[in-house]
Amino acid sequence: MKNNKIETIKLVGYILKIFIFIMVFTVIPNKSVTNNYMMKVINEGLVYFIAVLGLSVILGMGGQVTFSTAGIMGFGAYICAILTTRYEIHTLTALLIALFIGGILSYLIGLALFRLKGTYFAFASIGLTQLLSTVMSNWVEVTGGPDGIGKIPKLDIFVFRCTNYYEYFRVYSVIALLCGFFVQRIRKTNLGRALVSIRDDELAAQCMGVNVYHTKVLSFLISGVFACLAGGLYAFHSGYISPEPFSFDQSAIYLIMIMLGGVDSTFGAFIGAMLLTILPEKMRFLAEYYKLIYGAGVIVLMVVMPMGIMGLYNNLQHRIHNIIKKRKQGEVEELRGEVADIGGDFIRS
Amino acid sequence: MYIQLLLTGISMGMLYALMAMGLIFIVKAVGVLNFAHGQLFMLGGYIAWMYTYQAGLPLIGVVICTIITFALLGVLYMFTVYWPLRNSKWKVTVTISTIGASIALKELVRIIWGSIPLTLEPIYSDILRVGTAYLNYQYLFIIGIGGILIFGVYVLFEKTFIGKIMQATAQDRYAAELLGVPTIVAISCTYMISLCLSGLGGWLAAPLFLVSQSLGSMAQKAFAGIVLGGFGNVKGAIIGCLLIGLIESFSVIITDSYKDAVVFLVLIIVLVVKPTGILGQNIYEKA
Repeated sequence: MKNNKIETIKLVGYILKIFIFIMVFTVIPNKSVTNNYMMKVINEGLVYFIAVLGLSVILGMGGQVTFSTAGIMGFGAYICAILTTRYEIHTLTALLIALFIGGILSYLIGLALFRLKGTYFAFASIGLTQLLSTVMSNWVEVTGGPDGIGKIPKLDIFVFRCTNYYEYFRVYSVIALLCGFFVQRIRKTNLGRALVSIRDDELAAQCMGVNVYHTKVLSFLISGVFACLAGGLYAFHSGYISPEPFSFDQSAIYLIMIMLGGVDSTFGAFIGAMLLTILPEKMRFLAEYYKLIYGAGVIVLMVVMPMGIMGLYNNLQHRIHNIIKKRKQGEVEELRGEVADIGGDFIRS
Repeated sequence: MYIQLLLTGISMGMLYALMAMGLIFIVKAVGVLNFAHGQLFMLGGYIAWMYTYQAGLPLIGVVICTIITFALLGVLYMFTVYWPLRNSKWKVTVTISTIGASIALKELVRIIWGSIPLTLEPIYSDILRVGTAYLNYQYLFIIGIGGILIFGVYVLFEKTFIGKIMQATAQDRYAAELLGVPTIVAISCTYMISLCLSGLGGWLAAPLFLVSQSLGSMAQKAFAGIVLGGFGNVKGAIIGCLLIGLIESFSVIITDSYKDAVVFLVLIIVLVVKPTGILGQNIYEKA
């Protein structure tokens, strides 16, 4: 009886989620609801969400701070751009090639960098991003230097040809949803649990038979593939890339995104990415003080809710559950009291 | 030409070393990467500029006032960015809050002093001629003052009482507290010294590079130097930074635009070949 109730609640929840998604999917990409510019911003938010998902695997599950996201994202973006503009390869093929090469690259880099631990790994990943962005802005023959690469063709997935930002939104939201499900799935696999155990205590994880080094490298590979995907989507969406959005500062912003949303949850990554992309547009009235307030806000955020918005939400939920539990217990106690009055002491023991 | 490259390399290395020492002290004391260090370095340049031109102080006054300002700022910084987060389970939160601090500092400087680069007069404005090479005297001053500062900090840490307190706190905070060491004072002192070093570094670097917000990006070379030198020891970090400076200045012979790439490439090659860095032993991170 009780189980049935829970099942029904879960089912209703799922239906509600699907319903909300369909609503969002159909309502948002309309000219009357969002204008062209806002649509572009939201699409960029989706792209950042995919990049941040990679971070949620390596940082949220594995506890490794990395600053390589933007660098590898740039790598993916440049491969897509070069393949499609210079060699005129079909966009989807170019994207897949970028994912493949990006995966191999991040696996090799992971093998090298994870010989370092903790803070020193973070140091080295800064070096990696710097190296990649220096190459991007200096290798003029291939990357176009500071001018970047323009005229990147629009994304074309057989049936779905994206011609404007509204169509991009439809395709990207599906891709983002699939990526989200993928990460949600990883949480419940061997790999996810091994990563969480590494985050909580590396030594204990090793004692339990987790191959720490290999698991970390694997998580770096997954986050690298996500970053490459995000980079490729970014390149097709904006049609023009330059080294600037793939710099070290942008990596720091991705870290802030995931910490804002909640490092432990997939939905938190979504909230963080969306908030930090849309908020600057809505905060235009602050003008030059915006960044100052933003910086100070990050510090306050870390103090007030270190686990991000989703952490705060879970905390509240937990508390409400506790209150309800206590009330129920109170009722039980009352009943017990009555029973005890009638039937003697044996129930209590 | 080689003498010139050598001297510029060493002096750049000194600047990186000043930052790297501060970074290492903070990492050792509280286990936190300070990402605002570059911005504090930049702030050093601006504060020195303020005391020289806006307050009109003589050189000695500028130095003393910069040190006092940064000592106070160190305490302030510690209490805003680190102290409220000291009990948090995740070290990442403190790291992120230093990133926030770096953004805030950068913008604060831009709002106060504007985004046009300012010029600061060198300590002794003349050019030294060594054979066919020309060298700004500032480079020599950087090497000299940097050396004195590094030696001074070494003496402070190894020979004085407060230095021992700071070392005890860095090694094991809990045990230090049990022994009656006022860890809050020790951590404050560490932050003060660390910020003073980077502030003075900014003052030294300002005449060479103009006082602008891009001074902050020099911290990344200091990060590289720390990794190159070895794990968490100050000696290794200094040697690593000097090496980074030399690599950077000598890479001009091969390539001009890839100066930064060469530095980071060497870094990654060293990591692959010898992951513990040049001077590193197999010390693992404290659990």
